[in-house]
Amino acid sequence: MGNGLPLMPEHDPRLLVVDDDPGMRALAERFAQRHGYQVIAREGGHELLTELPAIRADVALLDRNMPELGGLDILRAIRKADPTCQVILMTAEATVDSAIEAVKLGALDYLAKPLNLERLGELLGTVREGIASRRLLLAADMALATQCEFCGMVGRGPAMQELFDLIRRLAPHARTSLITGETGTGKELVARALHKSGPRHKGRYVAFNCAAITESLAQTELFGHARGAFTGAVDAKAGLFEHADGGTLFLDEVGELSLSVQAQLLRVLENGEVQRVGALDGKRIDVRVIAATNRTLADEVAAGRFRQDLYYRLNVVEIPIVPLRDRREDIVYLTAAFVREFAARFGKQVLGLLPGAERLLHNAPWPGNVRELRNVIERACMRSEGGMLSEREVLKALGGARPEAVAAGPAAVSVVPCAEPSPELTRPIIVQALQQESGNRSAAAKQLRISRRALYRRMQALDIS
Amino acid sequence: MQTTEKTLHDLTNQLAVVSGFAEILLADAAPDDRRREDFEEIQKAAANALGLVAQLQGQPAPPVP
Ligand SMILES: Nc1ncnc2c1ncn2[C@@H]1O[C@H](COP(=O)(O)OP(=O)(O)OP(=O)(O)O)[C@@H](O)[C@H]1O
Ligand SMILES: [Mg+2]
Repeated sequence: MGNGLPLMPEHDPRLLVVDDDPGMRALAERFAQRHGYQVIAREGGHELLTELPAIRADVALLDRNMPELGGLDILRAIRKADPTCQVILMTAEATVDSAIEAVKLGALDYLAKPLNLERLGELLGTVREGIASRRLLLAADMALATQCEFCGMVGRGPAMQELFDLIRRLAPHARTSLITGETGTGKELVARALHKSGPRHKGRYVAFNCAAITESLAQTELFGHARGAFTGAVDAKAGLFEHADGGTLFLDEVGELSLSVQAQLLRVLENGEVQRVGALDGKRIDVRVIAATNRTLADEVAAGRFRQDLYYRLNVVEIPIVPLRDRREDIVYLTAAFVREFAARFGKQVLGLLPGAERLLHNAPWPGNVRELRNVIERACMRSEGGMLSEREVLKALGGARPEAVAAGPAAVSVVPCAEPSPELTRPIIVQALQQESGNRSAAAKQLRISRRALYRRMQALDIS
Repeated sequence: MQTTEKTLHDLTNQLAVVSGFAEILLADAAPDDRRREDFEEIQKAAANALGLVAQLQGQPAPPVP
């Protein structure tokens, strides 16, 4: 490998020059630099082949006749190592046959020596414009993402535009509301948007995750406690309701609250009064309550795990968020926004996405919705060496998101409409998967993207044998 | 042992390098740069030499000395 690659800024297109003549190398290098290229010049030979994958050139200028290894051999090697690299061949004896062969192998052009610098300049211009247009595409998507952003949420398709309208209409009225949507759809962002674009934006925004805490703690956290209410309650303490007075209280994963806390919550909502644990009197408060859940609360009510009266109280205003797979038109703009975020964070010059990478992102099933897409872009940008994000890089990043997808190979990330691991794995879906896999439970679990144990549990619960 | 034909090829390439660098120097020089004429002289001489080589190539190869 010798001296390795020089460290160069990533944003200029990169030309690899291979010629055994030092004068020609120097000329091509100088000429291409004037056309805005970074240039890597090599005299050829077998050791170049091992170095090829690391060079990552956008275009290569190859002498056809060289002592050790001819330009056509190098062209073939480049096709394998880096299919996005364009190739220009140069030759002293340009024959029609050799030109045809070069073009068959995918060469961009075939130049006679002595080199026509004007023609070379045109070719370098064409390649650079191709790169620039991909970069512009990303920049345009970034700009559109910014334009269609609402309170930090990117959404250009009709589903998100409707959501933004709904938030705008609801924000001015401090009604209790319920945000529903699968995990990672952006419920927390919607809650913040309601707060920020409403009359209480100067008041506090307090978020509370109902799932992350035990029942008794949830009680004192939310409602506070009087002095001496229980052992250890040395001082009186205000709860989050009091803390959020005049502002907004976001109750995330409200479906996880215990029934007794649900009863207390309902009382606060109905009376506009909060009573600290162990206190005799209530205190009037003015809090906008926004709840969120990724469960189907109606089912929870039916199963006796959620109070019906509280459910009715919350869902007077329901704000549903559509899963990402049902609004794929947003994916390129979300992608552009996340690329901008993470390229900046990791100091990488990501110029754009190759078409294959874009397709992959557009078609993936996204069971983890926007959060998953964000994580995938984060990983891809972190590992990227700059330049274009390729299909391979995105596939790797996707694999990290779902280890099963890697094991199953690329086919697992195609569109599988009903194969998300969701709590809504209904009886017919499971039965169908089992039938398709001839009763093989491991295979069925794989198809459903759940663990074998999870499948057993589900089968038991649904009485499938 | 190089044949005369191969030598003429190589000579062409070397002259192309000379002419190419002269072209780059010219393109980089400001319009009022006094060296412009010098660069043009180099370019002209290289072009003449390329013409001479082409003439030689058009003739039957002279015997190797
Ligand atoms: N429309 C969007 N535009 C930009 N980023 C988004 C959008 N929707 C979600 N995100 C991002 O995706 C991630 C997940 O969003 P959020 O935490 O709001 O989801 P959630 O619905 O609350 O998920 P969970 O149910 O798992 O708590 C966050 O990093 C958020 O910033
Ligand atoms: Mg959340």
